[in-house]
Amino acid sequence: MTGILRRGFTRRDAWRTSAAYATGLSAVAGFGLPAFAQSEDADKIVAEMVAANPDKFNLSKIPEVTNKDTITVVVESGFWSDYLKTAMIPKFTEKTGVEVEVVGMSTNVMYAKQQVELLGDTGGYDVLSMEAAYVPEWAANGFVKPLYELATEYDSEGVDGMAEYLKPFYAGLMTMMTYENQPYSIPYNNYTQGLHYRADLLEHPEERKAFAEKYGYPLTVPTTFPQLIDVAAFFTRKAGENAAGKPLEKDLYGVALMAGRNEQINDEFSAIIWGMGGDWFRSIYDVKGVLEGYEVTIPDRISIVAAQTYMELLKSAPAAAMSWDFPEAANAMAEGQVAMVPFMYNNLWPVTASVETKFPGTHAKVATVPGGRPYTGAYGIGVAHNANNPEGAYWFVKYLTSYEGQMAYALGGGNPCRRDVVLDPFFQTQERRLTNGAYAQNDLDTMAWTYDVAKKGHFTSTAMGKIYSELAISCAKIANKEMEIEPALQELAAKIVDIQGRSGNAKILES
Amino acid sequence: MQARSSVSTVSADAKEAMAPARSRWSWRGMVEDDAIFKWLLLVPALIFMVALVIYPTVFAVVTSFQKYILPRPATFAGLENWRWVVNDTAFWSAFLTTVKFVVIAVGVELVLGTLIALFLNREFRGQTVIRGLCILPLVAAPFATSLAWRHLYNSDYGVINYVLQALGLPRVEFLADSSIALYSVIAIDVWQWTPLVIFVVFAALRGLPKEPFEAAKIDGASAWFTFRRLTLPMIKPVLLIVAMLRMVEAFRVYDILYGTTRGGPGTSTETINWLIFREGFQYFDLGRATAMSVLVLLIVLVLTNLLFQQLIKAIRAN
Amino acid sequence: MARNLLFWLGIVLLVGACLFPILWMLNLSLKPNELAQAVPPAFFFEPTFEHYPTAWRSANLGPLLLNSVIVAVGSTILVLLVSVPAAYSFARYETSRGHLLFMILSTRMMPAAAIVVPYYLIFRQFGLLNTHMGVILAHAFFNFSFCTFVLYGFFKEIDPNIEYSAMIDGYSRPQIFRKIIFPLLKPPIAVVTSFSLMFSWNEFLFAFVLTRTDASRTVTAGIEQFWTMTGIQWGPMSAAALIAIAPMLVFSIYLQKYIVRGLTFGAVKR
Repeated sequence: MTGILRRGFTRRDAWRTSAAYATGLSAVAGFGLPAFAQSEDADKIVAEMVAANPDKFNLSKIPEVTNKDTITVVVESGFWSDYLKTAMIPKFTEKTGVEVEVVGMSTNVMYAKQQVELLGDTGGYDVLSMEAAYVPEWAANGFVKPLYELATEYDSEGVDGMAEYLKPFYAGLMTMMTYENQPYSIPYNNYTQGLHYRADLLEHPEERKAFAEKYGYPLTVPTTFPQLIDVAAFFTRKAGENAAGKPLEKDLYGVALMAGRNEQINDEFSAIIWGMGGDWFRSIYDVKGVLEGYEVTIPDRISIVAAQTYMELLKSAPAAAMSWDFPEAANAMAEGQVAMVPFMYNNLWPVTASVETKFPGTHAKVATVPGGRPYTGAYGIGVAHNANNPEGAYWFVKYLTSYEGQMAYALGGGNPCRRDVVLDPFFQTQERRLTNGAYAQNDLDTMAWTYDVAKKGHFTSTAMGKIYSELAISCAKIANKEMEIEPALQELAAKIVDIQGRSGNAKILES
Repeated sequence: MQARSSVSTVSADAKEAMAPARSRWSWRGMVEDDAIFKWLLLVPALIFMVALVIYPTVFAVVTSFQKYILPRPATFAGLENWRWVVNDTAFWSAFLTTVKFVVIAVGVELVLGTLIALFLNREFRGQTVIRGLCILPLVAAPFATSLAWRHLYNSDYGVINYVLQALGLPRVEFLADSSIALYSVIAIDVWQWTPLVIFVVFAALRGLPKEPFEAAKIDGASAWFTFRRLTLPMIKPVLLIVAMLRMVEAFRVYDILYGTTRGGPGTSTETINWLIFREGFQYFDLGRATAMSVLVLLIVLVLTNLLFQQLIKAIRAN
Repeated sequence: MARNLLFWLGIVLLVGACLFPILWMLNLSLKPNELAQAVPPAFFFEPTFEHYPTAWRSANLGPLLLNSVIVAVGSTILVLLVSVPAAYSFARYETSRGHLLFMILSTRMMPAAAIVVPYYLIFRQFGLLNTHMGVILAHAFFNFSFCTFVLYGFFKEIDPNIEYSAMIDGYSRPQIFRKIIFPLLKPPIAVVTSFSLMFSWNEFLFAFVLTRTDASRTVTAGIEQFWTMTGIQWGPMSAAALIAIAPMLVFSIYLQKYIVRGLTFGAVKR
């Protein structure tokens, strides 16, 4: 080292460093072979569960697949793509002889990246990952193959078999995956929101007493937005003040919000507007149930009050919330920084609930979001219209969304879309509470959406992939006080009309 | 100029003497003939330019006059996209943000880089290694380092706020406060690119002649005076070049936004490249996206042309 | 003495500021998951090496690194082939009196998002999507202007009279190149090579849009996937980022003598 300081780097030093780098890489590569310890456990549990449910579709029921071309699959990166690579895909390949290449990507870019390939008609991806918001768009453009068509072609059980197969999935989520009565994609990742809160604070007798004295009504888990604002303000305290009878080591805030630029702010606004009975824009159907067009409802009274509600809530959130999206908001609860995360996707329950392990004596619970219409949606997978191997892709989609696949997804910490998995007694036990404890609540809220999804322009417009990001920008502008509420909503209404008119399916009828 | 033209006559003479009978259009002839040879050298570059630069640019210009929203076919739209862009508040606010970003980032980098280069311009133990370490921010992928910065900037678990609080200073919302976020992003750019300025200026300083400085020392000139009157004018062309290269790069800022603010809070860090990427790759409205791009290109061309003229003048004067 | 102390204090601050974010990445890559977002941040802890194999496997880094090498080297060679003669022509003959040179430089100002759309459409036509060649061409495009400009400066420094006198001595043009110009080219080529390799290695947007599988995706674009549904995986992300930037770090240390010597763009007379 001192030698280097004296004479500087020489060519030999460069060679040595490169050699060290190469050695390090090969060590890492060699070390990287064993599978995840966690997935080995999951593997065993899944195998037992599958054996106990022989009537459900599983790997062994995949027939001989004639097309052996490799399929390319887009998957959200993270634990799930890892699990697929190490556990599910090897089994699938062994069974069918079809190789599977996984392309992991973050949800930030999923829409753009897949859209590029679809528009370019490259046939680059066989199995697509699609968010509820882009199902109508891709279906209308013919980018995705209808499931019934695939079933007719490759599955001896045909259309009826497929309809039967889809029954365990939440009806509301299936509606989102359906366009003009044809299901295009099977949901696997449910992101219905819940109100995640600290029961040790909200249920504490002293806090209840103090709250009742201050606000004149009892402290409960908030079910309305005015209540939410009060409870949030009530629990916003400085370090040193008491909370649940103990002095706080650091500042406590009422709520964590996701007011950054990652589009989740829009889901929070939506939950408030919908919970108040309002809409961004609404689908209008004729007597035969054919979509005629849309009515843009903002900026009505409800949307303005909803935005005001959000601004009130921001006062009880940490200042950093202006840059947050879901990981940071969930982490804020995990770090004991907030009393509630009112609009938290239930698949982050393992994160928010980890506050219990970090701070003994705390207790996490989940309830319905105030207003009862939490943001809902799902990621689904479907087969691209120009897939190289549609047959292999079809069976892969079916396998991944099977009881077995969804079980594995749930064990990894995901939030599944099959009722038979969500309600499986296995997940209702006390020892699985910290990982899967939000499922019961999740089931309630997802069921509540069964009939309402089709009424929202949100889930039926073929321009929603684009409108969604404009919604988020307008919400962010309001939160950031760049614009007053009403003009911002007015501008947004104009944008919706513009985008829907330029690239949407049905025209705006009224606004 | 004078010297050059006289030499080229010499070279013409030399050629004539060498190859009197060779045709001008034979291979050898073309190589030896300056007027042809200079263009011959440019052939690969011109092919390259036509295929990878001119074609996309022409495509962009043509598309900017079309209504072209994929997957629908393009139709002629006249000035519609242009009207829309010119009236779009988001475009102008992103443009202003970009200009602010470029001016502040490049300005700070130039000043800071020059100061550090002056500071390093001496002999000391371990100098090559220390200079080698200072170049590291430059070579690390901006997308990767911006994620590290995202962690450092965090208001709870971030190191910078931890240090601030340990010093008894208030917490700063680097990425969440819309009046600060742009400067936080600029700081990342400054961290990344100041080394370039340091090294360019440093190399220039090493190349300066010794005599004028010795004379100034004998005359008892102050350090500031020496810098103002001697050093600065001599390194001016280098500063201009590096300013221009940095400007060009800074206009394209994208990666570090992707890793940090993603345009937020609100739209306070939304730059032009970010906006165009959204219009092009989220909305696939190629007409509007290209109209924006062409407009930006035009504005930037005018601005840099001014700088470039200065530069050519400075280089020729040297 | 005090002056000396102040100087070293300055050096420590400077090196500290330059290195800290990179060292922090190293810190994150060795941190157990539960400490990644701990408050206050943990500086000292028992390191874990699990993130490196995790990152390696989950982002498929092996092929991605190979892709990065192919793309960086390929685009650099291409750029040199194109920009060395061009820069020589501009410097020696003032071809087109600076207009073409300016045009070349200005192409770099085009917002990348605008260029990438036509590229996508053209490349699709020629089957260049998701191939190394596609990314090589795209990277060559944005390195071309920079390299030509830098080389232009160098060539300006070479005294033309050397060549002219060689011509009088009866050297042919190819001989002049071989015997006189090329030996002088070593430092400038080292400089543009290093910059071209670096820009190409670090580029994110084109590498991301023009590739779709691990067959051609570069390692920088691969880091993106650690941004998962449950947040950024700080440990594996930092490990992958370090693996990705390490070759450039090593490389830069080796090349810094050329960079220091050569980056004056010919604008300062020696």
